[in-house]
Amino acid sequence: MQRGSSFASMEAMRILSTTIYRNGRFSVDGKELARSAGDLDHDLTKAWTAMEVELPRFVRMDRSSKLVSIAAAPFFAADGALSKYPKDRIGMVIMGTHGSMDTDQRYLDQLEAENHASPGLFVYTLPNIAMGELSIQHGLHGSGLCLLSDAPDIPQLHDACDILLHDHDMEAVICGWSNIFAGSAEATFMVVTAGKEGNWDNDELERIFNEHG
Amino acid sequence: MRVVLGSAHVVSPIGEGLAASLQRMREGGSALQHIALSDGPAAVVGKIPEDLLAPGPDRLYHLVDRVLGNVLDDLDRPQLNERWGCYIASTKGDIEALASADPDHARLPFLADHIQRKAGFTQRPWIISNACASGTSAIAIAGAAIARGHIDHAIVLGVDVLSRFVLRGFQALHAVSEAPCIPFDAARNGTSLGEACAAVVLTNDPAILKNKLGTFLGGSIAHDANHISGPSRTGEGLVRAIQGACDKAGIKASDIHAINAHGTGTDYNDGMESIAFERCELSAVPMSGYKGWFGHTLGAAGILESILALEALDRGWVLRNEGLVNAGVPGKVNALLKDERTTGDLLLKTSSGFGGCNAAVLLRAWKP
Repeated sequence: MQRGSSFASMEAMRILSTTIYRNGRFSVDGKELARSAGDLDHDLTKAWTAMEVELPRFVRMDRSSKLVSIAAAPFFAADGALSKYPKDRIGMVIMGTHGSMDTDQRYLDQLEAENHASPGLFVYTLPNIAMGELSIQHGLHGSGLCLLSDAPDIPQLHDACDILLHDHDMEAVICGWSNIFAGSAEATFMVVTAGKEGNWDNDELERIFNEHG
Repeated sequence: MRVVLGSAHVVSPIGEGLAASLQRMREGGSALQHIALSDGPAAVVGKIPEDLLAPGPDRLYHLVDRVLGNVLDDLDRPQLNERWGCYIASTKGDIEALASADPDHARLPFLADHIQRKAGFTQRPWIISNACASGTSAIAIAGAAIARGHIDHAIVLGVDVLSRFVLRGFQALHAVSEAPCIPFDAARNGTSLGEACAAVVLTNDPAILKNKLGTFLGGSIAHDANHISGPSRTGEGLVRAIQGACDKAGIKASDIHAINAHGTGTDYNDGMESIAFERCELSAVPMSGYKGWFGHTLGAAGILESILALEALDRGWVLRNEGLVNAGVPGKVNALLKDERTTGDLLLKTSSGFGGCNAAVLLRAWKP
């Protein structure tokens, strides 16, 4: 269901490419790129090594940043969906439920157990740091929005992309859902542009974003 | 289309309400105070007085309810149907709940659920968490959502409360001053953390606002793409955000009458901002940051400071940098030592945060 009467006034949006990460399995536009069934850290590393795109900052990132970096990396490959867009015209809209809580918990556990606040962990205890890492990794100076929601909110993602494309003058937006908590990781990322032939379908996206396993 | 701001309310360490807060800033000094921590170094913080916000595990929710209730009472048509959006700006929400019996309550969406139920929004509220640029980002996004016709009205609410979690982290980064923070001073030595809730209504129908504050002209968000916890030395992201907001608003730098800066009181942040303002040819514009009064209120900062700076302009003032004696930053800026009278009305508000995120909005004070 597309939202409200306002929808008619908006311009069409076109999804160019989609990546999906679900607990060790990573696919790009339906093609499986990596599959692993170890623990979370092992699986993320496995997906990273399968990447064609260099991610030199990967090893020092927290898990949430690693997940976002992996999910967006194929878009930056030589033949990737973003390869032709100027770096300062690429925006980011990243949504999740737990934000940085995976790292928040680690930081807090250490603070409680040892009365030591780790600066290295603390700098990752904000939900938008993964987006910041993505911007640094690829030199993206554009607009960005870190959103939190109980579940993938497709109408919110739509409106956020519309604002970045038409109010913040981005030419493409990396738009996705990324969540990591309690040893489980999932991400669904897309490249969205303001194409004439729109293919944004709320029902279809609800299905893709909420597919588990 | 004109997007009007109004029916705002604030609760912060300097008190409650716009008029009272402004009077407090005009006539009084810093509300920052020393507190003792049982398990860590002592600190100077901005704490909301206990007669406004009683201690207890639910103080975040009591704070939000108090501000939200005042905003709703100040609307002539408080039916929050599908043409209303809600934009919540917060960095950590109820993070202390992470150490409680219900750690899942620390999730930011839990705060959105509370606000949706309490206010009766039909739409799910947005939660924008762009670090310390969250509040200014939320104003920029809400203004654009109305301009784009997604919605007609929005409540933009920013909130963060003091927590051991954040205080100990900032101390570990050596980013906290042992004395009240002095943004843009040569002797600045770090920030002071604060807490606040601030909310404002944006609408294309000013008739619903019992009190009008100003108009939204344009906003922008940009990234440094440089470092996750330190600002760009060149102010790259902030320059881009300011230029983006000016382009959107259709104004030139020379049209701007006042700058309300982020001004955390850290060496790097204030230095970076000064460089960005000079690069944008804003060196002569009266500039101040408000954190010397109430500290760094994180996700609430952009909204709290925008509201107070607009209220000041409405009354013909650009306020000083509280505590500033001797400005000392690498870029050329007009950092105010004293409150100044002005007939101008065009305000630039900027915020910068971890993750290299910068946001800027252009707002015009209300001229009936």
